[in-house]
Amino acid sequence: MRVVCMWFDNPSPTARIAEVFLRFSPQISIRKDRAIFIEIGKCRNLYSEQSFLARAQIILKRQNQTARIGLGSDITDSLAFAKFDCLTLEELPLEAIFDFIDPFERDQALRKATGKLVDSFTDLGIKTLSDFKKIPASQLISRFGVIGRHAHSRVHMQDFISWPFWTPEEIVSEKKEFAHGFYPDLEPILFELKTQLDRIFEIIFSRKKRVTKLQIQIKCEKISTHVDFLRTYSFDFFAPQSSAKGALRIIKDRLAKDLEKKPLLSPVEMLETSIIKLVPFEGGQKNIFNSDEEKFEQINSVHNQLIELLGKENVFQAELTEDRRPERSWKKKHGTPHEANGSAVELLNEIPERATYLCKYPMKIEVTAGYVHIKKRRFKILHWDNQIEKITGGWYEKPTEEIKNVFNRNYSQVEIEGNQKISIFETPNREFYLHGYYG
Amino acid sequence: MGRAELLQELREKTGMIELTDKEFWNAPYFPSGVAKGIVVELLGNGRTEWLLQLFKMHPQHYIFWCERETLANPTAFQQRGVNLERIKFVSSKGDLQQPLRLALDSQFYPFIVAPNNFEDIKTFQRFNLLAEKSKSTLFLLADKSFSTAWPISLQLEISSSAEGFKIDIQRQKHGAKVCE
Repeated sequence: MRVVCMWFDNPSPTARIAEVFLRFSPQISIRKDRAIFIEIGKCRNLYSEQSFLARAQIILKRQNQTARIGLGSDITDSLAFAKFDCLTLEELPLEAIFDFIDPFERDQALRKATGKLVDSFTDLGIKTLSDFKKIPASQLISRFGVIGRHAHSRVHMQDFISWPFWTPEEIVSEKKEFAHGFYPDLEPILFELKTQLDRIFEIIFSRKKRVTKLQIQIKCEKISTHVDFLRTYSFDFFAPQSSAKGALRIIKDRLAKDLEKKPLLSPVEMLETSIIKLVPFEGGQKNIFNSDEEKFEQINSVHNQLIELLGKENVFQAELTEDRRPERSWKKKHGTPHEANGSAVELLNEIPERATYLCKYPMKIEVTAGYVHIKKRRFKILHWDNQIEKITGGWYEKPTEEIKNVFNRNYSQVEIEGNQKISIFETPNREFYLHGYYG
Repeated sequence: MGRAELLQELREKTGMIELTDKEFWNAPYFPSGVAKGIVVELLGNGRTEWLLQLFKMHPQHYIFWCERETLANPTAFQQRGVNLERIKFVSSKGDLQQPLRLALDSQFYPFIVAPNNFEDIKTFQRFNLLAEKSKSTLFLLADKSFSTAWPISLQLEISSSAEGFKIDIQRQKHGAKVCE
């Protein structure tokens, strides 16, 4: 067996790259985001190892990827050669044993135990794999038990490693070419897209799947004044879509916004819709007695549209925290819409009533006899509540060090002219800040 | 019968017709209730507190809370008895028309709250039609003065005091109905 391993130092789209190498060999496995293993021994009559390596370099360059390539007799040694950029087992450091023991990085407990083994041998002065290979199995078993035995058999290539099954992800795609092109307006594009989406969603419904990622490509007639004639729109849905109707609404919003900014200047020649990612769902007939699921899906669809329109940061629910500071007493929650949460509601009974609105940042104000000065305007104080809430903290986080972020605030509720209630706090330096107001 | 009296009578009749079509939300300190599917404009220093009391009275409905930037304090909302799971907060510095139309169109949010930064009468007209269709009530929070746009059906100035709320009705299109 001859195995080529491509090792990517940074996380890379290994599944996508592996698909390109399917033309060289059908036996491919991947270690998620980091490595691709290709068995090329059985195809030696079709191409030589040198020619494969040369072609692999060109393909990686075309894909804008850089990888170190290792060639070995099994998954383990090819991975170690690629990772540590070596050509023989003798050159490998002892750390390479991780790749022999768990090449697909699947067992964290095993890796932890191997870590202890590596530490022990490093202390004993065994720093390379060739030194490790010289240790007899009996000694390894007596000291490290089953891990020692496993390490020994892997390093001596006595184990058969099964290749994890990998097949390229199936792509559902609908494409239509228009011989004479059509008017590049939103409505006719949506009309065509509706047909494509209907067909796609029928296919995926029968497979009990839902769409989470979708891509649309619009190709216009190539003319000199229309540089941007090929447009690609990628949609990453917040909630998986199961119907053309819901997806089309989101697509419409995006296209309308984009075509308004950058209109299409030449007739549309081709439209293609591809499904990039699918997730399973429990199919079956609609429950006619309970519409909760349908309602939930529709709420998700609205949520999707809002995210598409305003961005994820701007569509949220609030969740209470245990922090006493009004500005930190809640946090944004971007999960499933209207989902129940176990926030710190019971704490609310122990804190005084908060202002309904908070200033973006506490605003420095001045307090003189009977008046509050806010933004150079003077407001008469009608009532100053004597109940003061003291919020202080920060000191407990690092008691031995000087902390700059210590807060010490004395909150008061004040009623000013116009019966407007405001929430202000005083710092130890006798500075006053407006922090909130009642609605 | 004089022209003015005739007009008054006709107005009352149309008001009665509209009234029969509408369902109402029970509202605190406002015995006639707030009609469903209308645009309401609120002014005054007690408007949000009053609104939160109204939401507390109808705990099973979702709320869509739209702002230009996040200033509302959810902790205070929870303290007033409004469960935060019910509220979807949306903030946008751009045009709020589209998210509001989306919320109205979805028919999931019986209560929709937004600042009143709109001037074009067509926008109010659109909101009114969508609110009527979805039976959602759109509460627009005014800053300084009431809008003169005719599609707004109810305009209330709410001031809070130690005794409760004082509500001045600036405009009420759907007649007066005392809730049960």
